[in-house]
Amino acid sequence: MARLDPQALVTHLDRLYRVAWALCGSREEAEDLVQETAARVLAKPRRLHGQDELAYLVRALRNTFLLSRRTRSRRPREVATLEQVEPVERRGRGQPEAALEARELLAAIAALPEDFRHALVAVDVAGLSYREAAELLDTREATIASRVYRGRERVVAALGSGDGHDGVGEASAPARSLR
Amino acid sequence: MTTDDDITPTDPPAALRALEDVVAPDRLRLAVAERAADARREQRRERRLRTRLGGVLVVACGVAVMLVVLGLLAGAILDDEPAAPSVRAVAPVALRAPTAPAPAARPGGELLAAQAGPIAFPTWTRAGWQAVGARRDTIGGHDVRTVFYGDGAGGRIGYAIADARLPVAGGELVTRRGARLRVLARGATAIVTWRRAGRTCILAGRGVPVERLLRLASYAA
Repeated sequence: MARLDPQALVTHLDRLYRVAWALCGSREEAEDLVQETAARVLAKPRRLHGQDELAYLVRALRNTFLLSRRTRSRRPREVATLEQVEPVERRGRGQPEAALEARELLAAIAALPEDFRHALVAVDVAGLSYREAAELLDTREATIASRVYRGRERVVAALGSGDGHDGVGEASAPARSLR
Repeated sequence: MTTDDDITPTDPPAALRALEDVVAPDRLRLAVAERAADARREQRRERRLRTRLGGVLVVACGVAVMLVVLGLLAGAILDDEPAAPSVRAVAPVALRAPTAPAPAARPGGELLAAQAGPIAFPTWTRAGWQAVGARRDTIGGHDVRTVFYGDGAGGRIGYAIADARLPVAGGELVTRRGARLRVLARGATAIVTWRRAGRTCILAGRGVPVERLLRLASYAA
């Protein structure tokens, strides 16, 4: 059975970082989450069990996120202020509009209801197939397709309205906005 | 109202493509790369260790197999004890000619002054037989003593006793007077065998009905 090459974490780092950011809604938390995931995954040799490397790593990152969130819910929450937030690191540096756009986008995704957020993160941010996303989230492909579709609608609406909420349907996730 | 199953996969909106340019900060990249390198080194070390351990196991197994083979060879070489002959191989001795005079009868008239281990040869006088000769052979390393008897009417039988429990197969198991006997041949040549006191007894004759042998054997068994 194939083993996970530790180098896969480096290869997929950018993607994992984006996934972490979209899940946490904060760059600092995303960095911590990726670091923690790397530490857990590399603690011992891992078998892929027929999974793709990326799918395995996204699953590990999501599990670490859920675990840390449960732990954090028992502690007082710290909310980052705008001053504490560093600008988004992009390949095309020196484009503040683009950085703002990406930050708003990630914030909008983080603000989605949980089911939509996890589906959209798995497919649009991590780049998993619908089948892989369905396996990751333990649901059907059709359900993933539906949640991704609705999540996208909400994200586009949030970006259009500029407030991070579409104002329709279900209530948003607990506020983790960076603003 | 739409359900979860109503919607088919679509391409992501253009707005989401902005994410593709977001990359991990250098400090995170460096930290993860260092962790990954450490993990790779550790995995390589463990793999080398497993390979060495596997080599040691292979050598140990090889040595064990060699020892077993050597043991078997040594056993075969040192084991100078020949395989015991079968009853069928020894039985013809009882049909050969005597090489020694008949042993004398002991006082009482029931037993002869000849014996094989604890088993004394009978006179069988009351059954109409008379000791007419004897011989001693070594067959397959086993001592076989034989006494020959005649009935005065031309009939002759031989009673052979080998000093071990010789292997026997086939034949017909019969019981006479509580004695378990095995008939190996009936007809022109009759052979009956049994075991007693860790020895093998064989009674054989030509032209003698097997029932006569069985009756004599039942006395001796």
